[in-house]
Amino acid sequence: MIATQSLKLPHARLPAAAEAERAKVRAFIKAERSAGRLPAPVEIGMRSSPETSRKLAANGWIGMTWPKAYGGHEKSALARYVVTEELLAAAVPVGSHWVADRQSGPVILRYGTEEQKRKYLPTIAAGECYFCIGMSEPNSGSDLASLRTRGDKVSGGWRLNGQKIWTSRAHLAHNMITLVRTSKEEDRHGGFSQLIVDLSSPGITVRPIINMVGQHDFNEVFLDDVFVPDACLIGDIGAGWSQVSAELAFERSGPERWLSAFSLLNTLITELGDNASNAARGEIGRLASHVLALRQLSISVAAALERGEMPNVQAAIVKDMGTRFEQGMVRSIRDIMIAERPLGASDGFEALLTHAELWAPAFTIRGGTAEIMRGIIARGLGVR
Amino acid sequence: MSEEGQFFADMMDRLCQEHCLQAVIESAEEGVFPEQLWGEFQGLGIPLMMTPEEQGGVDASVPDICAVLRVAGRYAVPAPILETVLANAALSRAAIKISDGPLALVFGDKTIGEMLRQSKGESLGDRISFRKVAWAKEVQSIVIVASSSSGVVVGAMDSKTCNFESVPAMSREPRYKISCGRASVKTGFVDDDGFSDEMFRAAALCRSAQMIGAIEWTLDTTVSYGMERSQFGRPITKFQVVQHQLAELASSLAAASALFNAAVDQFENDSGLVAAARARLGDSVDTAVSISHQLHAATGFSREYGLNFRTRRLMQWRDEFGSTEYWRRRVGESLLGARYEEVWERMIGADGGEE
Repeated sequence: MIATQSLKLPHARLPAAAEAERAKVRAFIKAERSAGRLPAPVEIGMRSSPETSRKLAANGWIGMTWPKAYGGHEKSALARYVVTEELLAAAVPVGSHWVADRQSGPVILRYGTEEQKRKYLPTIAAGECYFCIGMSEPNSGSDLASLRTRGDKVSGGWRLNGQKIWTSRAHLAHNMITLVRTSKEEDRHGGFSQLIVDLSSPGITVRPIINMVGQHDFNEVFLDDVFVPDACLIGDIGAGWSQVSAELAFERSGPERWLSAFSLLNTLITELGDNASNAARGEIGRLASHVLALRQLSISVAAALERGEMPNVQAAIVKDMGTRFEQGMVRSIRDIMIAERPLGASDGFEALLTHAELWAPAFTIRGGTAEIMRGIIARGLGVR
Repeated sequence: MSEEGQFFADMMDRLCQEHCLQAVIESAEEGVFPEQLWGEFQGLGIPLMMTPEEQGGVDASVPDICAVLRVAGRYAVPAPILETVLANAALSRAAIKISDGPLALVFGDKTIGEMLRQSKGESLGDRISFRKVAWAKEVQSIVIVASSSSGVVVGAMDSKTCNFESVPAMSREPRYKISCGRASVKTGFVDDDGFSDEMFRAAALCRSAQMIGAIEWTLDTTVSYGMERSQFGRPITKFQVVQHQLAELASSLAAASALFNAAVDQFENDSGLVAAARARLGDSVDTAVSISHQLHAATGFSREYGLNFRTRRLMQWRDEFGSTEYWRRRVGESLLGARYEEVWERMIGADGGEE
């Protein structure tokens, strides 16, 4: 019973207060759609739109769970969950504020100083301040503890030297929360600290890395004698590792892990109309059943986070299974389309499918590789 | 699930631990009905659980039965608990005499429903036949549930006078092709057109409960086996490739359980979650069977080891009370014809309206 017990997470229903957000989000989407501001997507993933971010902020959908004193709305994690899944299922471009809302804001709220909370959270919640995450380095991917970017103590702050890489949206963000080595401790996980780096600081160079899709998403970020004031240290000196570990749990279990390519399923069903073979009906049903199972897991994880628990194993399961499922779904939808419409799909769907297939290899890498996730799950089962 | 459901599940666990031994399962698979084990179930009141109190039951709900069957699935209980409990619920609703002896359960189409409705108790001969009925020969009567042009018909057919032909089953549980022969059918009516579909969904969900229980057993047993089994000088769970396979098995169970739990929770609302849960579970069964056997290697492939008693049932059950493919299509069909945003709305079944 031990292995099964380690997976147990009670079934959670979305409470009425959380469900109440759904109608508001749908009304917003409908209005945007009918005003022509939300065309059917020809790309998967999160597109960036500062204008959309500001509108969502005006509706109270950024920083939803944060205290009102910092521009938040004091809603539950489950209400945020509902808003998130509705926006992602409709492919609303939430990319600009995404990292700040999901990850950077919560880190500042949890470990930051009063001054940091007052400085950053209200502008994030207003949809005007965007963050990126400076973790990976050229020789530190999954093995984050080997990173080498240094922060040396100087009068009034820190001097940063080193290089971050694969930093998504660094060219669009205002700030980067970065993990750097601030002491030469022998302990593998000791000696790291988290700092907020203003990306307009002298000494920062952001250089694009064009990905295999042909897009500019990630970057190299060079730090040459970058001065970061003391006021930008998050939490305690040397506590960076444990802070980051907690942060990654927020990152892993959200619906973006299994809704990033959902527009493929929407579009497929729209294209097929009522004219689909039994095989296609079965496969669409199978895909939908996986989406629904991942959704229930995500809801259970959100409910556990709301209760103050840290369901790391289940969060890793959502990430690993969600991303592997999406990878398979892309191929499966291509196959359905080839079988059902041998003369080809509409131009828009063809573009969407092509974009999704090119992105699919990244699903199981970004945000923690499948290998790392399975290691976490195995540890939860007691075999590691 | 109610407190009573939890109570019955706990009692079931204790009872199975003591009485549902592998020897009992093995002899049941050789064709010997486990009379003593059934007697224990009767003692606990399991067969009548879903009937009203005045009939000896506790008016148990589908979630309560699922809790009991999840335990039964873990132990690979070789007896028609699901069939009997639901058959009694149907008999009771149709005001036909219930029984705490084992019963078989089968669903008929509208043609069968119509024939039964007009039968007035006489024999229907070979006009009624079913291709695969579990435990049909071992029970006193076979309970048929079918829609007709006027309400739902429940028929109780005396099994002694039916004609049987054994059909192969991976689980080695008895499965038969049957025709009614000289059997007379006692009929009753339920004045609720949705009753037949509700019973079918209940049966499909109850099979899911057994499958979840059996997959839990395979995960726990595969993990503990892997920790004990040493090769190349260390337990095989120390190998990363083994760890990752276990992670995959566990993930697959977690996903299927999450959706199963939601379907149980929402059963009363007929939300389409039963179909989705069965579709998802079909894939989890495949994962559980292949990974648990791979990691147990030759040991797990031998008849005397307990693993195959679960995996063979999983392979059998995944296509009963609606095959995996049947349930997938039901989910698929519920989405076809939807407009762009409607896909998501139909899928999650939340209308975004006021609570």
